[in-house]
Amino acid sequence: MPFNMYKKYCWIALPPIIAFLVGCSDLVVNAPTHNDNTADFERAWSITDSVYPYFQFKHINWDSIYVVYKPQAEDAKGDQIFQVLFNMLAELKDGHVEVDTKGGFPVRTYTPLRTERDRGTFDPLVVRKYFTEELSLAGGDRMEYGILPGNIGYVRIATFEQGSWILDFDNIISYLRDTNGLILDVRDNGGGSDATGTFVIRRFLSSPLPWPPIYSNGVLKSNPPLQPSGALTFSKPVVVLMNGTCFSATEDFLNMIGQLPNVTLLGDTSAGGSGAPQDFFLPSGRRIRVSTLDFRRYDGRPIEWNGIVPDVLVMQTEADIKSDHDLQLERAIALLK
Amino acid sequence: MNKNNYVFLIVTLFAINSSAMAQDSTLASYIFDEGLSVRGGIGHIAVRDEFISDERYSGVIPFFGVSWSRFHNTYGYRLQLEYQSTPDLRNYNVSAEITQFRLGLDYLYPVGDLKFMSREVNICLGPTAEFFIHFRRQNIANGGSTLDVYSFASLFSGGIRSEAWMPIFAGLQLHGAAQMSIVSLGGRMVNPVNSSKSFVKLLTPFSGFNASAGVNISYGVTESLAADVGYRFDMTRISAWDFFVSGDDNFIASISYAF
Repeated sequence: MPFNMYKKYCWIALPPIIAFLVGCSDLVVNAPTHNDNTADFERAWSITDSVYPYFQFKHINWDSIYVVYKPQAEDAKGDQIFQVLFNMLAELKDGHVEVDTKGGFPVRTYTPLRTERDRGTFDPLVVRKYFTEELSLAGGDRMEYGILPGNIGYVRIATFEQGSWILDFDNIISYLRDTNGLILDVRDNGGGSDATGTFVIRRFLSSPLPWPPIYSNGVLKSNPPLQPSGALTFSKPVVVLMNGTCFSATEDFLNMIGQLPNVTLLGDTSAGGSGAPQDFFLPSGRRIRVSTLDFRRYDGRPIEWNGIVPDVLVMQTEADIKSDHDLQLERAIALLK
Repeated sequence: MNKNNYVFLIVTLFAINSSAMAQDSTLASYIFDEGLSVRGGIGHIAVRDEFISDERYSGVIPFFGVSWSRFHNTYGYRLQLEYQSTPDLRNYNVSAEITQFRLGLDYLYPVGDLKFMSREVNICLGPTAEFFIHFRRQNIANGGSTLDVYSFASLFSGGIRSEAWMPIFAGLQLHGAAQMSIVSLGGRMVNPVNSSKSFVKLLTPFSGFNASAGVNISYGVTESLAADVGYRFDMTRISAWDFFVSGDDNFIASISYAF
């Protein structure tokens, strides 16, 4: 075909080229017309300033944080504010503090060091190797239980999230009432609700248990003592297994159940975070989550950062678990035999 | 762009492609790109996913695709698989990784011809089914947690597709196509911590919509081998959950071999 023939038809290449250059994607996907970045920063800073309970304990000068991050927030374009909020709140080094995506995906600003250390040091499949029969599931698969050789009861509670599922704990205690002792395993339990934790504790109480100190804006809250509850009270020896992944409501649980005379806490120190976090909306619709209460151990020191210390320290590594040895469980069995 | 603009855009594209539906067909199998087709290209994508934020992310995204098509006595069908992925979709200095995947099945029936610039244009129309999934991982620090910040949107759609061919001279033709969803089963990321919302819903075009339109030039190198280059625009809009809209302009080259 002669060259002038190609020239004659080259117009047909124009539609795709023009369409590509125009770029329909830019027409249908618009950028937001307003910018709430500075307002988001101001709100996040002031909320934290008004509710966060650990500034003094952590030696944080929150006013100086404002001076550092305000210019960054003013300069932030688009989602850059996400990083500014994240960095500002990360200064709190608090495992409860989050910056959420607009749809609610939690972006944690800090993970406690003991949680990092103990991640991978517990494996429920390794626990199973110590049993001759399969563990039973309960509470919508949030708990599992069985009887170890030597007639030792075992219950793992994987979460303390709120819900009626915990009612099954009464059936478990009833099933295990004739065992010689009980191992309560809360390793890798990241917390949930204190109401769920105290439901369990009340099944081990023979007399009222006072709450540990809880401060709100520096004021000690008064809570009525925890009362015994349940059809039967488990009064035989109990070993509670714990590690650095125990966090939040699980630490409150450890704090309180550790006061009982028949209970031994065994394992490694918990993560160190117990701040009753609440969600707060920012002007753009983003959310932040900030600790609001100062939970203390019975010795008066904050659970935050300090964690709950076991009565019997048994450290466990990922290598132990990979070689099918749960040293903490083995020690608990030895204590109860 | 508001809802009326979307409707106008789609209606216009369909009007261009299917204005002669009532006329007799002269479509022949040689016009329909038969056989195995391998496609590659480069595009520009823009996404606004309000599960993450209100912000618009955009960037360059490569395009890969493969399709198989056949023309029978009265209709043609095409099965196509497409993949796009980029680790660097940006909103200022914040980035996200995006992966999109499409699996489509089209049935095309000749519906007539029309004259355009004194040339014959062959029109086809038919149903189409498409599975689309968009996955996004946000590149953002996460406080030492192993939890990735991510979002996804998906549509399993039934819709309508229209295509038109205009032969220029022997072996060379201009081809245009447009499709839109009519009903979809949508899936969407919801708040993983605290949400009672279902992540699957049945969607109308007003709550979940998928459309594409494109134009390309095809040249038959031999009787079995054809090459073409062209442009295609894809868009997905979902408003039944946190608002999601994505649009991508693609410059695509392909080689087809008829067995």
